[in-house]
Amino acid sequence: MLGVALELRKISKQFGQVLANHKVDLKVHVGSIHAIIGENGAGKSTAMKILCGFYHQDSGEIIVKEKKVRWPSPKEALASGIGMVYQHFMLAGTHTVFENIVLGTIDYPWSLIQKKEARLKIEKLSKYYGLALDLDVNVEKLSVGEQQRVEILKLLFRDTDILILDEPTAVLSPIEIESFFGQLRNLKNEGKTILLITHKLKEVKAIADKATIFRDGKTVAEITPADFSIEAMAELMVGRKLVGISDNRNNREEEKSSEVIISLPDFKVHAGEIVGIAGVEGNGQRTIIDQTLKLRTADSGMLPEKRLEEALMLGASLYENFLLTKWRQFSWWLSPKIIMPYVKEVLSRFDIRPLNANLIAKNFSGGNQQKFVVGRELWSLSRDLTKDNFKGPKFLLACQPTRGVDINAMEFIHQRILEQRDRGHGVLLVSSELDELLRLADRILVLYRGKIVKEFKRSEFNETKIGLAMAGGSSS
Amino acid sequence: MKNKFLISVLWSFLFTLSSFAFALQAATNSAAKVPIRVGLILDKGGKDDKSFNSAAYLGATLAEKELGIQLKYIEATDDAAIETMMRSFAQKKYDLVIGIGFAMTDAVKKVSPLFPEVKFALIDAEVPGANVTSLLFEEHQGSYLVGALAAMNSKNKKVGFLGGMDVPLIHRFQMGYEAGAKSIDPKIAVIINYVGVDSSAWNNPAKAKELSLTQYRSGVDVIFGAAGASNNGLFDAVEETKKLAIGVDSNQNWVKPGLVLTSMLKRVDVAVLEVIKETNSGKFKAGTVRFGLKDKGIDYAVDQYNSKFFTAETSKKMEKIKQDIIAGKIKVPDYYKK
Amino acid sequence: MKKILLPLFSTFISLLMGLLLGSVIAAFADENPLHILQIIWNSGLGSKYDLGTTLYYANALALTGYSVAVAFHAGLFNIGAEGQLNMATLMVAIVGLTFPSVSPFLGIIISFSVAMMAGALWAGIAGLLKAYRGGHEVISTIMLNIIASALASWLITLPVLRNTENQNPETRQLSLSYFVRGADPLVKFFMDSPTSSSILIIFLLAILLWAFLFRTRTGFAIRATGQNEVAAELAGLNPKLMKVIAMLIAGACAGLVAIGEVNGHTGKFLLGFSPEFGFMGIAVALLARNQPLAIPPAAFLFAILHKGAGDLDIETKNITRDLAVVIQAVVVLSISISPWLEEKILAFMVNHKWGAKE
Repeated sequence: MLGVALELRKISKQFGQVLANHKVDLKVHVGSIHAIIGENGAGKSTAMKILCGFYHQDSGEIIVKEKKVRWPSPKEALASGIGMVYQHFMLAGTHTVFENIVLGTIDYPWSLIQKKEARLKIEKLSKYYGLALDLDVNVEKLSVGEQQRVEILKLLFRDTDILILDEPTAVLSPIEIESFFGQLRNLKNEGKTILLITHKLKEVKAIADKATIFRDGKTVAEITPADFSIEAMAELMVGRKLVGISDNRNNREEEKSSEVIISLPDFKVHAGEIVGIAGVEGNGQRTIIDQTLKLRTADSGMLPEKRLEEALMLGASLYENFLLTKWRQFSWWLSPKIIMPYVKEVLSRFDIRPLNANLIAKNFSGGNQQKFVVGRELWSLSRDLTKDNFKGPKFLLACQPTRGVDINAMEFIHQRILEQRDRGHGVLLVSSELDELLRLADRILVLYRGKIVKEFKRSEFNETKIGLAMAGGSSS
Repeated sequence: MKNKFLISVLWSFLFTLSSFAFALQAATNSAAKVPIRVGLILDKGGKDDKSFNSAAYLGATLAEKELGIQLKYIEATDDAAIETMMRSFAQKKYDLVIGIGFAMTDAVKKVSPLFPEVKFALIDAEVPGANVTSLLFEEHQGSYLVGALAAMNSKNKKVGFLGGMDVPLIHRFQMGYEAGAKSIDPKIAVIINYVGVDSSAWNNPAKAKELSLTQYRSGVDVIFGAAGASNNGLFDAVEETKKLAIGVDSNQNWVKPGLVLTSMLKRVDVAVLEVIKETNSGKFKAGTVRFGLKDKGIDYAVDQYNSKFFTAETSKKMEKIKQDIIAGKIKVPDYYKK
Repeated sequence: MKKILLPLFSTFISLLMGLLLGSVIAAFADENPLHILQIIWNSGLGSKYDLGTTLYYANALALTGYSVAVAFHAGLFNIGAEGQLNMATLMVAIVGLTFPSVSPFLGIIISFSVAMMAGALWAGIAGLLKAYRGGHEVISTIMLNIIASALASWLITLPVLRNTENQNPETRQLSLSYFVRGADPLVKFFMDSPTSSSILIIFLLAILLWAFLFRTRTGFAIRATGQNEVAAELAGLNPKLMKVIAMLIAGACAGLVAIGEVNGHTGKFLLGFSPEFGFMGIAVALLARNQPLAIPPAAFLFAILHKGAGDLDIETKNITRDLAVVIQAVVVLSISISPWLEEKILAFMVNHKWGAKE
């Protein structure tokens, strides 16, 4: 290992009442891949944004290349060689790759000489680091993986030697992830330092030299992932022993019920079955979701992909958010006296804090919001004598149900989905996380370019084969 | 606990406020009361329209200087508020309330019987009442005169008329103007436009300018603007095209020296000054007063800004027409008696 | 308790800031600020007649306030209350002149239905354009305002409508079947001021609109549309229809200005009778934070300021009516910082263990 590329010493940052970072320590060596792991809200992003000059720390110091620094803005950080690729790319879709890369760096846009120099430099870089790209294609025509390459080239073109990547694999298929890791290794071998913000521990183990674990705004450990099991890392992240979920299937093939819950043009969902839809995002998931929404009955629930945009009214109270999907179950006169107890029931049953249905949704943390949406969707007024309102809807559509939630919430949601199945209800699970599908689904349908190209029964589940099908390859 | 705190803060605030207010009221009430008090309610154009309302304001301020009366004026920016303002003046026991413009008719009609001790004067409309004097002008006579002058100065034999609001009062201007122009040249073309139909037409120079430019481009070389503050649009247009314009109500010759042929004077200032004078000396007379050429309530303006248009010959011609109208030799058509 | 008291308090602070800045300006203009406040106070509430006039303004401001607020709950910015109320008033006058000899009872029913329908229709056009063609409601309502006033300007010149008794741009007087002011006890009580019993509508509407928006399914659907259209659609609500319904209700509210004007005040349509009530309604809705129950007091407050403005001209040397407009503007501006203010107060209360019981 070479010298220290950068160091954070006792960085603290407070937002209003929230202590986002508390005495964060971080040491990253030159030419290493350093993973930053932690649950949502653990302070990873805040620390990285302080490093990039987006925020300023309240106390503590940043040391880059053995010098104490404090950036006025991200521009100065970039000039000193620190750049970040955000989870949502910042590219101008209607411009070419070349234009996107040089954007803002050329002083005289009309100077052909400068353009030629820039072009040569980019071509050299892309060859050197194995980042093949056609420079004259409009960015919007590129795949997500290629767009990511543009973002990385953008940083390299600006002579960045410390690259921060925020959840870079969230949008990639398993195959693409492999080649992306190849590129990262290339960069590392050429002496670049890479900080990888992620929550996928398997990937940390596969590629990172070192990992710093964040929990509750503090750095709790710096580890060498090679020496740790995934479970051990997860427990460090969560701060307690994980119970895991209970699944009474044990991978044996079960008798399929013949009762059809919902019948889509290309497939059916039966009672007591979780049908998983696998595929890289944008391969026809939207069509299936839309078809499902058209066919759903009153007794169905939905966990949309983007809970903030599609399942919640952030400016409205939880009481009103409860009504959003449950209004059909009440008369036209919406009396809080009748409805409020049910909302409270959801809040207490799903341990949503603070336990106050009058607070607006925006005031709840991401995990609590997600739990609320799940609780709401699983709630339906019981019409029988058991008075159990949580038997869940006959059909549940779950799209990326655990995206962006912490491990605790993830296990909780997985357990609820399995419960639905065990009750004899049907679940359609659309997910880009293969692990999730493998864990929950009874069958997996693989989408590629808008079509279902392959179906796997639980007994046939195989990560490699499914991954191959997702990339359009056929396995025999 | 905290509710009580808030409420007590609120109460103490209100108490201080009201006690100050009462103290002040006492102070204002004891103020000495010597000269008569005059309330002037201007039309939507406002006192800076350089025309109708400016004339009224000028008359009132003149009275303020000469007689030492107490003057307050308000601009009616809201039709619904006219009556309220008039009542406000009356309730405060103003001696004389003057309403400028026919838009005040309903308000005078309604308020004057309720306050018999207050005198009301109304310009441009008639309201009966023992405490109301209606001040009317023979606008058609003056319009006839400037119409004749316009025709004398038109090379293209095409003159224009730009009315403010499309109401009988302005049709009276228009009819006199047309007759005057035709008396010089029976074949002359008179182009007519109105700025609008509601009271905002008195104060819409932008539209007035558009209309004037269109007229000038079509070959019109003199435009008579009878449009209150909208006349400013006409003057902008005349400056751009270097043609001729005729002002209205006040003497507007100075606005664009050399480009304003003359102004048809409607001496609202004289009327206002007169009625204030009469009231001040306790000689207020109810009823209708008509101002015309004879008493110089209506006239045309000649001064250093437009003297170049008034050659000896022209002056003689104009004076002759004027005398003929006064003598009744020329019968000017009146829209009101149509 | 905290839920109601806190916004009330921060609104009070905004109000105070408006008055404070107004006072500072007054002081600079060499006038005693307290004197100014006293003038406004006396002018707005000084006598039965003054109070009546204030109520007349408050009536129109509350109705346009409702109009803006209801549309706002559906996520729409209704700039068109002005056009809606003009259309409604014109239509009531036209219908009234067309069927002059009906019973007063029928006359009132006709007036109400025509006023609400005309306003709703005019707003509904903008609603339909927004929901089904994506035309931005701000643009379309502004255009509809202009069309309404142009249409009124033209119709008013027609000999069948035009009042020939005076030179005002107005329609002829409606028959006593419609113009029921003479029989109105409230008119007598307020010494023949412009107000009438139509003021009672706004109190009824406050309760009706509150119940509709916060207690019924359709009201909820409208608010959900305003909060998050995508989520509302996914939840099986019909956001497009809700936008249209919201605009229809908004237009009907603005249209009711016609009742106070035609049936209760003048008995005719006078072109330009509204000193832009529609736009002042936006400020009222802002001050009331779109809560129907808070709109009548907010409207009353703005009415006092509007009414008091004229007397500033009369009573002071250097201050004009514009000061009242400045105060109104500062109040509205201060409202925009009130969420921040509330957060600060809340944090302060938490830190000092206030309101721990809640």
